[in-house]
Amino acid sequence: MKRTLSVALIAAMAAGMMFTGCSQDGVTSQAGGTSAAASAASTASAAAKSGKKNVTLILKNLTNPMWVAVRKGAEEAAQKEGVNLTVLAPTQSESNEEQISEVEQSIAKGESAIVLVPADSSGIVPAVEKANAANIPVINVNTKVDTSSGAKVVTFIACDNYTASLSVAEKLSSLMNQEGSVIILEGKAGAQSSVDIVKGANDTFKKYSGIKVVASQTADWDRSKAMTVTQNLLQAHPDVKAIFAANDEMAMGAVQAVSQAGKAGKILIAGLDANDDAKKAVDAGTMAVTCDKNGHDQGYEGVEAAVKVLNGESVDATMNVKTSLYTKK
Amino acid sequence: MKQKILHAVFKYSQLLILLLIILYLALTTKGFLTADNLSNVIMQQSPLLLIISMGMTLSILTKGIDLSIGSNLALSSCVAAFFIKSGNIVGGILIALLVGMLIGAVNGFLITKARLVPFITTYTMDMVVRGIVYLLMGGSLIFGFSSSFCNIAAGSVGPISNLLLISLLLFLILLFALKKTTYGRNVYAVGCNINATELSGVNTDNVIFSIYVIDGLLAAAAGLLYIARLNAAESTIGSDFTMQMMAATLIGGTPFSGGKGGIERTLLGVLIMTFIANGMNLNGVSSQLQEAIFGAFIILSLIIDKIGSKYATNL
Repeated sequence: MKRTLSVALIAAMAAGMMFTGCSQDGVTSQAGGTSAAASAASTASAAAKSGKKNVTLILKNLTNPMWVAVRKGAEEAAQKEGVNLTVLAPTQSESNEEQISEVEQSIAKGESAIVLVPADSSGIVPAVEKANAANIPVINVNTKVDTSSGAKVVTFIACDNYTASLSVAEKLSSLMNQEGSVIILEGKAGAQSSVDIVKGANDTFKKYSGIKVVASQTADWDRSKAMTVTQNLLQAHPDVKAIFAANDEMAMGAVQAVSQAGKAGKILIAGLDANDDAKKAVDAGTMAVTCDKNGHDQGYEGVEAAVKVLNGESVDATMNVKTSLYTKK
Repeated sequence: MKQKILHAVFKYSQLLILLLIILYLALTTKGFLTADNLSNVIMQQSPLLLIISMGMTLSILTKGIDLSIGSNLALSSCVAAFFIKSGNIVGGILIALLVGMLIGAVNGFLITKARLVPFITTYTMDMVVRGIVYLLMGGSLIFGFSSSFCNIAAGSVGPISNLLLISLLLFLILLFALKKTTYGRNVYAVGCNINATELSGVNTDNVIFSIYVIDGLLAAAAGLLYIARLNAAESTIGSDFTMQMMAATLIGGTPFSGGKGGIERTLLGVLIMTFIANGMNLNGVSSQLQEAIFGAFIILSLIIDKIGSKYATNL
């Protein structure tokens, strides 16, 4: 009897602590997850009372520096706004199926808003429609959700890959003096972001009659694969003037292959993402250009938009995050 | 006599396929039959796949499988990268081998002592280890090693690349162990009939345990060479190696049934894979088609193997 009483007391105390904890700073709602259902319920009611917002950010993966930057920006915004942020990403990078179930989980959990970076524009539509049906606002970041069939997103925060790719390809073309042959290293076959970036590159190179795309091959976003593919392609096209890679990882693989072939700095190499090592390579002159897609701001603006929507403020249908080219100073 | 010829054709079918591929590419593809391209394939691209594929082959020989080689390679190389980046190359190499060996030992322990199925053990281990690498690296990477470390992979002795020398050395050691020692005979025996081997007084647990430890060491060695070659260590490396290793083993002609085949066949499998990839790049085969072609090739070589073995036994 005594024991039951003390257990009940402790539980009540824990619940009380949750209460105060939440209303004060609100970062700790997950911390009490181990205690009984009673305290969980009290957390929820506390959240409702203090207007606590639970936002889930869903990314393509957490292994690429780009998405880590998005997460960091989102966390900063969440800290500033006092939002409970949950960050999810598929264990299999860019898995549409996993992203769908992560959206479903967030709906079931009763999240206030979802900030979504879809791996697949059209594949994610069923999940977005479910969120629409549950009246949970979806903030779309980076890669556009296909809204042609009626799925609704509150806003699209774009640094869209196509535009970023256009600017990189344009810069590369001018560095090539608008002539010479170029190799394109594609991302994973069928991946949306790869399709967009490669299209941006091709559309740019097409404008110049002097530039010829001699090969366009996949290297799966992967550094070691890119090194192998570049080594092979340099055999078939030894006089190539430039290499356009759909991300910095592959660009760095190309840099390794080119320098091993003794052509370091002689072949212009372009990438996207502005990863630390790519920037260093640009500074060193082994790489020509990369593009800072400003992942930090994408994440930050995503969470900010979610907060605005939940506060009943209006947001623009599309917002653009500033991207910038990174070239040698 | 006729039996002997057919037996030879069956035995060397992979070699014939390899020669046919080389012949075909030499006749049709511009830029294939140059000293530069051939040395690129043989000295730069095949060696790393060979090292890890030998590990896969060893486990398959014992009727097991090691699906954790790819993530083992990632963890051991990433841990090593911290040391190497701070200038401690020898320490990095030793720690990589230690990590690789430990993961292999855990695999071996779970398989022999806890009696778990190799497929499930190593599949799960793959996920656990990959998760640890992700946590360790947190989406960032370590790059810019000293040139003395990078030279381990980029350098050469005379005309022969270090990569080729190291992989051939490992190949010859393992080949000797498998073909000329009691240990090697036991490995094959375990794959053929583990109960009979056990009854004949061989400690089969030790044999199997050792195989997974060797796998771990090979993964770590390949991991070190990879980061030296790429001048960067990252958590995602090796995610798609498992399929490549299995393909090289299967194309080479080591069946999943165990006890047959060997690393000398896997060497051919590796060369076939690398030459096909090289040929597809040179010919500009579209990315959508490349995977399908690889898949078709595995099936084709398995069928040839099957027909060959049927022919040989029916005579």
